[in-house]
Amino acid sequence: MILRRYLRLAFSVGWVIAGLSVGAAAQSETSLDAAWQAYQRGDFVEAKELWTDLAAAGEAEAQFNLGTLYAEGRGVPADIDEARAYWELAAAQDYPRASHNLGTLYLGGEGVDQDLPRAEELFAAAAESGYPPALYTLGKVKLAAASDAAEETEAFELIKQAADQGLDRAQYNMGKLYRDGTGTPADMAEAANWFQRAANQGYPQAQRNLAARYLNGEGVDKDPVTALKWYILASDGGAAEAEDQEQTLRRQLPPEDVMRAETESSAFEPRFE
Amino acid sequence: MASPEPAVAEKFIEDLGDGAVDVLENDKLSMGEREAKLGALLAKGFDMPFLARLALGRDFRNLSPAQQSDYEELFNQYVLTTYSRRFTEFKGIQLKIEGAETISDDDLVVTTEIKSENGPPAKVDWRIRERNDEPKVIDVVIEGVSMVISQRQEFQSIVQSKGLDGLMAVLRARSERGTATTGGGN
Repeated sequence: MILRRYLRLAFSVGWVIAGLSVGAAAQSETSLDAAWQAYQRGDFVEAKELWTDLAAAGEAEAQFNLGTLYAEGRGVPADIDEARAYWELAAAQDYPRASHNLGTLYLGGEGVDQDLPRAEELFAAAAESGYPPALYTLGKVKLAAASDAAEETEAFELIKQAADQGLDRAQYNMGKLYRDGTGTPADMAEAANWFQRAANQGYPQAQRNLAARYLNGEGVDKDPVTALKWYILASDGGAAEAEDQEQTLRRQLPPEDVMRAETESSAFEPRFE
Repeated sequence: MASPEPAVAEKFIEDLGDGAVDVLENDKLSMGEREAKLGALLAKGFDMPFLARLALGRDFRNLSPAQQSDYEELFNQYVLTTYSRRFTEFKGIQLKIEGAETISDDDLVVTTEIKSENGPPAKVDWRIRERNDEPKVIDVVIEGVSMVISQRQEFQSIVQSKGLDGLMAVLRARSERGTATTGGGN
């Protein structure tokens, strides 16, 4: 009898505890959502308050987001030390974005002494989970420091992983690496292919390089109209020299070709590749 | 090259302002989309290659070709992110054109006042030069502070303390730093 009562009690207590934790998780989910909506509205003060409570309760996403508010000075005065403290908390919970952002502090020497090995360690920790910006940044940092072909190949592989996942600037850099034969044998068709992917996403420097491939028929069939289309888009995006190339080509092509290129460039919509 | 016609320059700034207001007041856009659209507007209206060279001055020539290519990319990312983020702070923004004045053979300044719900009105001057017959912004002076001059001073002080490699690292760090997110660690 006593045993039965005890079991019943244990059972109901168990349910209450389970219910409480489900309730807490749901509540945390709701507050995260509310904070995110406040942030989207540009109500950074409200977002900060909600994220502060969640961060204190150990929510990694809130700790990371709060750190970014301090880094960018949104809803609070900019304070890179506060930003670092919150990112440290989230990074300790293996939150990849936090490790990556911490890495950028050590890379740029902001609020800490510049420490490249530490930056690389943090990027590598974030890259471990496949976070594309970390793979890309680690690849670029390693490429800048590379002193032999093996190191260049290692950097190439990292940038490629980010590019495969659709990171526009990684794709643009893949185009440059194939064009110049850095970390991989030179291959103009591959270069054009990667410039194309980043160009389709609206990346101006890639659009300029793709235009040059079409103008010169390198890795693609020569096509001055398509070249002009991409020069127009690259120039609108602020890519250096694209505007001069655009003007030169406009003068060289017959008016109907210029019009076709203009029509094609105005119909352009960036899409994720 | 002659400086742009005052009426053309005023219209250009008015259009740029209207474009920014449309983006800022579109509730359907996420913060990230808003920043990206503002960035695209600025990239089109600003003479980015000129601003990039100006910010680094003579040091540009001391960069290796690979660094020059990275610098162009990083400068654009860094400047466009910085300025588009600054603009998303404004709510209920109104841009009033106050006039245009030719200040040299090449340049003209459009004087404006920007009002918003969440701050005092700001006097903003836009320095404009023609490139390939199109007006382009080559400096923004907010309450007497020139964006080009402050950018240049900031870059120079980084180059002095950390060298050109250090400047590249700082620009990469700031350009790649992720912003707030929702839903999962990635």
